[in-house]
Amino acid sequence: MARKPKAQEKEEEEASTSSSEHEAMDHDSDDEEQNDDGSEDESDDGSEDDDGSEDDEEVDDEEEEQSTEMPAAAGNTESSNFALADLTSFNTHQINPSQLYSSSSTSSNTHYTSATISTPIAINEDYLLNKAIGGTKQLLKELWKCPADRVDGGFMVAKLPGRSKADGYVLPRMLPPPPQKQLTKWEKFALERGISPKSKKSRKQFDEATGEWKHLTGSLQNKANAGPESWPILEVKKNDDPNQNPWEKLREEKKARTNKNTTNRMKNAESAGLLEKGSANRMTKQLKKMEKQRTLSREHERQQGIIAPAGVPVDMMKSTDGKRGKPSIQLALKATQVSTASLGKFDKMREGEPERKLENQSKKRKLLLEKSAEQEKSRDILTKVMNGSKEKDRDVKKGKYAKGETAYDYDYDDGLGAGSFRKKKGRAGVGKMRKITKKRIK
Amino acid sequence: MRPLTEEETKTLFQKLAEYMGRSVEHLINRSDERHCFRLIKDRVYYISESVMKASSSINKDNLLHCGTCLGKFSKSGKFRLHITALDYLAQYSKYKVWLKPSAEMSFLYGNNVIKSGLARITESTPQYAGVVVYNMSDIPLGFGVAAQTTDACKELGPTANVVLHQADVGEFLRGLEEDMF
Repeated sequence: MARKPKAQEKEEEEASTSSSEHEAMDHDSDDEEQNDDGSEDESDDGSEDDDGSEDDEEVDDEEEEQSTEMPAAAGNTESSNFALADLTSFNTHQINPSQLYSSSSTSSNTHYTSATISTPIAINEDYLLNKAIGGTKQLLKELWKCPADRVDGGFMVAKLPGRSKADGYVLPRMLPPPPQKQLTKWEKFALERGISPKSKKSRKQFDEATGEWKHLTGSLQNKANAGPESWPILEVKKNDDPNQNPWEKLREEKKARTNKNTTNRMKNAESAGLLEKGSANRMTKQLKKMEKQRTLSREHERQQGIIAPAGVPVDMMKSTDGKRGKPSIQLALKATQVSTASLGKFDKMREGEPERKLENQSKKRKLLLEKSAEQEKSRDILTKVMNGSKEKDRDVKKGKYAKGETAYDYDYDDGLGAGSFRKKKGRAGVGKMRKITKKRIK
Repeated sequence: MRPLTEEETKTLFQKLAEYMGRSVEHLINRSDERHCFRLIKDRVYYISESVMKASSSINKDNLLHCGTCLGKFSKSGKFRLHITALDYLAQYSKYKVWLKPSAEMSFLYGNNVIKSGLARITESTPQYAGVVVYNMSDIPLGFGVAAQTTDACKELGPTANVVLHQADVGEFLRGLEEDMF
């Protein structure tokens, strides 16, 4: 009890030295004031520290309740260690358990934790808060002690000291440091020859064609200086094959370049040890194989007439079967003749236009076969059926046979389970439970 | 009424061959009158030449049936045999099954045949073969699909399916309900 007035006196002393007023009950504002003091007058805070250190572990619970300034003092007085490079202060003093676990329930700032679910333990948050405040204040004080620079704009910037073992801790690396980057083949060559690296390109480039600033990468439409691939007309130069699609050629060349780039990158990575040995060669072989397949398939498609030679509209290719010129035009005309809603029935005929007919309609069906012919035909089919059972198996597997028609579709009941389970009761359950659909009116 | 296309004929014969095997030939090469297959609105009819000629003079809209309806084609081209084909199936069936009197009624109601209802079964019936179901007095009751081979049937429990029901003569009475006829 004797201590309490002493502490109070000290507080009053501190308060009187500062210019701001002292409010007894609200210790939060108290701390703020003291904080301000700390930033402005360093000398005062120095005196605070000295005074408070004696009071450290001798504050009782009752005193704490009665005078709210005491815990603040406790936080301030416990000196901490600093690691300014990480902006950290460590308060390594022991926590006073009697203060931490306040037993009073009237105090407004108690927080209940639970050691077990059923027994909550009251923790005095104020105590912890004050500790934190004290530590922060001291840290800020220390920061003000650092040498300061003035940076553009007139801001004062404190120069933090580097990390050292003197701080008391060194955090080890969590992961091993990355390996030193090895020089690629080109870099080695450039070093040798003294070739300086390329100057960096700016993000956008002025596109001559549209007169806009466009990105260097993107679709042909949005790229800057997209090049011949995007031009609708390309001249046939002296050495070019007139039948080759020039855009195709450009695309092929680009693919070749990208493949070369990939393989070179892989080789560099291999020599640096980042990739398995031999993977670059494997990649080269794979790319070559893919290229070969592509050319083969393209040749095949060209022969089949699936790919149009340059200049022929794509939708013409199917009907032409590779024909060009007059036959293709005739076929196109045939198609156009019936491409209206009424299939060309009511359109005016032009001069010299051939007769219009729909392809499928012209197929005539032989309704009345000769009797013997029909019989023979059926016999032939029968022999095919009897001998060609492979086809049936294939059809069955394909699913051509209706569900329930072949036994593959049956949920086989092996007699162990609900074999006679009826899904519906009563009349509907009798029989095969076929769905009763609309009756056909005949 | 039109004759079947090749594809349809093939499907039809494949189906019939499941039940009759090589005897489908007998349907085509008949000793008495030549018969043919005709389609009326997806239903396959087996009719003699004379009947066919006669029916061709009837208006298409008014002609309902002619001859024997063997079955019908589904919208996706699959063929389903109807009970009305039982006559010919029973005549030429390869694999037969005889039912005990107790199991008759169950089958006629459309249930599968369980082992306890099985009296006799032809030897070496392959699994999932087309099978015609008979009475003990050799009256054909319907047809179905063998759920097990003959040998495997012996090892089954009493409530295991031996014949999976496809059509039975009870459908002549039930068929009106289920919109078959």
